[in-house]
Amino acid sequence: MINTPLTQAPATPGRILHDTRAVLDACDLDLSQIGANPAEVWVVLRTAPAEHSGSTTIPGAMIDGDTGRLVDASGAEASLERPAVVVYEGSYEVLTVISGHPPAMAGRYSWREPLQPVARGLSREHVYDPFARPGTVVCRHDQAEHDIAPFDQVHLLPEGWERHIAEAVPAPREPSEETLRGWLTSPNPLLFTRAVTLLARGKRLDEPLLRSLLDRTNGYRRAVLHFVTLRDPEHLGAEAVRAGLDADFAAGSEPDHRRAAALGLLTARLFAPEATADAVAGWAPLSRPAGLLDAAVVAEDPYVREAFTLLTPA
Amino acid sequence: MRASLIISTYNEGALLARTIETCLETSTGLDREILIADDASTDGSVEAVLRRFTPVRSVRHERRHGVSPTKMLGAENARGEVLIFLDGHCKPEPGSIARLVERVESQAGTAIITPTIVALDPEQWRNDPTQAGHGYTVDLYTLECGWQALDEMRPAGDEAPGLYESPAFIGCAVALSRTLLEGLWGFDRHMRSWGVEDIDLALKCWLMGRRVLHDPEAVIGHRFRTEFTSYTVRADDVVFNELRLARKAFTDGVWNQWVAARQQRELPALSGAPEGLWARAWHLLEEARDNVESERSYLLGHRPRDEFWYAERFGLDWPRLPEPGVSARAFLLASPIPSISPSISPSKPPAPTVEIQVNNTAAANDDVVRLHCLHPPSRPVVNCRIRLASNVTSPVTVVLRDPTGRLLFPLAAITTVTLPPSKAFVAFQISGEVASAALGDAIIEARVGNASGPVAGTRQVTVVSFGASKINLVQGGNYGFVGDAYTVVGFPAVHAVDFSSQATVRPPGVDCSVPQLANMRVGIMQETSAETVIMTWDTPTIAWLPAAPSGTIVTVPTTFGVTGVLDPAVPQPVNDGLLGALPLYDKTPAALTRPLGCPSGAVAKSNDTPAVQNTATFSQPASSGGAVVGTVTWTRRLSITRKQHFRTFCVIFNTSTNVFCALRQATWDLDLNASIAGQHATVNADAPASANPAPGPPQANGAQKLSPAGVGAATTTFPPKP
Repeated sequence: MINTPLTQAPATPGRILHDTRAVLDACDLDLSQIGANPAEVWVVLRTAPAEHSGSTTIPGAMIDGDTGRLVDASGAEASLERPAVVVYEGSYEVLTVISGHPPAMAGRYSWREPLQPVARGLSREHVYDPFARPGTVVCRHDQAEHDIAPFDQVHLLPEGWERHIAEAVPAPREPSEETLRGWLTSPNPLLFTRAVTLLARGKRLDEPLLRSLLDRTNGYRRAVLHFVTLRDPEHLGAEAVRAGLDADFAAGSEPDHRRAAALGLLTARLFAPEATADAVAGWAPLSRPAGLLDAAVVAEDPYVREAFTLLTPA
Repeated sequence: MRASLIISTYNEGALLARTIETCLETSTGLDREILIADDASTDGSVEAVLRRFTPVRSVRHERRHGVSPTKMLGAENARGEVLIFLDGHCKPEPGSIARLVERVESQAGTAIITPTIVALDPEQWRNDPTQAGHGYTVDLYTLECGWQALDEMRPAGDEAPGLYESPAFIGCAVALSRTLLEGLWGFDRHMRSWGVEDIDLALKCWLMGRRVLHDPEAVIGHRFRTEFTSYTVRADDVVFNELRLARKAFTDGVWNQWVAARQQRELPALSGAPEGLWARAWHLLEEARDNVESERSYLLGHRPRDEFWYAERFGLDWPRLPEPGVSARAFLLASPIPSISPSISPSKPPAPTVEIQVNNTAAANDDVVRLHCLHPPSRPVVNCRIRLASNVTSPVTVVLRDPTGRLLFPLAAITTVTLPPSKAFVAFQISGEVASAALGDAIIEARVGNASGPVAGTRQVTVVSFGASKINLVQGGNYGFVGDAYTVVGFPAVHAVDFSSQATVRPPGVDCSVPQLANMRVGIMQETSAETVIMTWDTPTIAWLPAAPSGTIVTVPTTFGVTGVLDPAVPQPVNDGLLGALPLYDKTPAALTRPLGCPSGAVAKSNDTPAVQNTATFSQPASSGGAVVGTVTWTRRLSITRKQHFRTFCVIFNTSTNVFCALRQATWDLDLNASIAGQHATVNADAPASANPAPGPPQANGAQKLSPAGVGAATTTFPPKP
């Protein structure tokens, strides 16, 4: 089994947001959709956004460098009621072709989307957008018209998992029980994720199985385990879910396990807030100021600390 | 329905509730209803009873009419075949109600059944069996009444074992069949305030060939008054009632004797009537001459017995024929000339009867209409129809009204329809004006000719409302940044505001599956206004275009901002529903529930977490001399503020028509500043809906206007392009 330790990931600010979206996207990835239509171009690609990608901008207007005023192309003062947009610009490199024939193995992208400052809740793009910040994604690549995103069905992948997509795609959509159990020990982390997700949704992930999986997983796989058990806690029960988290945050626990638990917990809070709130109701580590945020086990790792800053805001 | 307990009442206070409670307790298992006939009580006693005892319903006079019309109001609205009339201060002994019903039925509806009346101590609510009255007598000359001991009463014979003949009955407790009551022309609808309506009906019963029978085993306690404390009785009303009784019961000669004697009897002065009590009472009689003569004609035309027979049967001294062998005709001829000349008209033909269907079905469970809505104003109507049930040869005009005032037709208090003799249905509509307190307490009443004509038929209807409604707002968690979103983060609250909306269908027991209610759900609506979002960035940097000339200088505002407001051209507030839920806020199953009180009724729940999408940077091309020379990026998110007002409604929503009715409302606000910790929504308590929720378009369609501009006077000048 391949377990990429999370401690290998750079603990740069915002890195955990990349990882939360990657965990969510990996769990939501419908492998059977990928390449189902041979005419469609499905690829794994790595993005390299421009520095200003993801910025707000006012199209058709520019700053007059002499006066500092916003002007239009003719130099006249720009209307004050212009629609703002978010600009996406950068380059990409195709790592794997899963189906179809991409027009090129590398290229540039550039499109704009309306800025909608008034939103509700949280979208996965709000948390981490791989076309505004770097990432490796599996997506459908479409020859788009100008100014429209040429990518859809975009799923951000955890670091290193891109190598396993091609192998995972032929997996059956509705695997037998035997196949499913086999995936739990598969070296392919996407099949492992698929198995865990199906078991949790089917209420077949019980406490002994969870314990045995936690005994032998780390890194993103472990984060996936925490996420799916928090998202679908009914069968296991909140106590069993919290026990898994407690063990990973205990003094002396492995740093990788702490990161996995922090990542799984934050992913669940961001993308399955109601179920997660029920599962962790009254859980001491989330109660400030006596909670884990003040403990050395959290404070010593900026990755874990960032997670708890979000989980226990002032 | 087998029986109706009709409780006549006027300002009975707490005794009414005790009477109802005892009736309920002592008549369990009997197919019966309890109907309060309220003679315009003002002490709140009826309302209190209806709130407490949900199976009980009521009918009401809008102004006082008196004991006898009130009993008839109850009778006309009762559903049972056996009618038991009780005063609102009675305590039936266990089993007595059922016994009275059985006795009425055993006599095939040919007899009035009167129970043993015992004294009731209202303080202790205890019957005193030592003070019991059995038979009830009346002196026809003076109309004075008295009790008769059981051993003085004549057994009713083999066809009525255990029963005894009683000359009359006391009106506080009596049972008879609906058929018999109608055959006797009912209690006198025109008698005033109080007095002799019971004697009147007893006399009519005997003279019409029926009997008043006493069952000593049925025992009902009655609070006897020594004075009228809760209302006043005018003496002229009592004399007027006596005149009516005498006029209807006596043949002309006896009537003339009786009037002469009554007029000579000492009569007190009457306050406010200088003409005197007798003259005043006589005037009242003359005013009602038509209806008293109509009833008299009917009775005299149908009765097989006369007052002489009655006097002889019960051993009265008067009236008697002068001597044996003198015929009644001779007696009449020998009597004084009458002071009045009543005209004997033919018997009144029976009024036509009608069939009324609500919701155009004969079923009773769908006889409901929803209460009209205030916000927004709407008036659900229910299609109904009516047709003649009896055979007539020409069209019949009927006036439809609801004497309880709960229904309209559908905007007016009355409507008139003409029914063809073919018995074809004629359509009409009803709407709900006043909510029902109990099932079936609204009445469609069809009267022949005009609003005071004879009742041709009635149909009970329920005006359904939604009570105990609430929209509760619970403040959620604090705001923080997650990536490019400023939203609620952390635990335990995961939303900005949690909503719960509920309403209970009223009255209890209404069938929620009928078409008028099957699609009704409790939901949530929301509208918003006064929205302002301001985002600013600072720390500008520049990326020069390679083609830009060396030495180019660019100056930009140090801080740049974008302000977003709701398009002023769109009238505010605007609907603020989630995508696809219009006009509701949320259309998911948890947010659109059946009302409480219906099967699977539940509280509707949803939540809101307004967020701000705010990119980390702001970029804009920069020009110099009219040519683009590079891209300026303000690289630091400086601030976000969001102000917005929300109003959230508890609504009743029709999933079939998308029509809604707001019941409650609560407001909440955002006044967020990302530079300050601990930012959250503020919520307010709910209140009755005072406005119509904005139906649409949703906020997403109300274009938001974004205004970009430099903020403040500070500028940044970049070093010249290398």
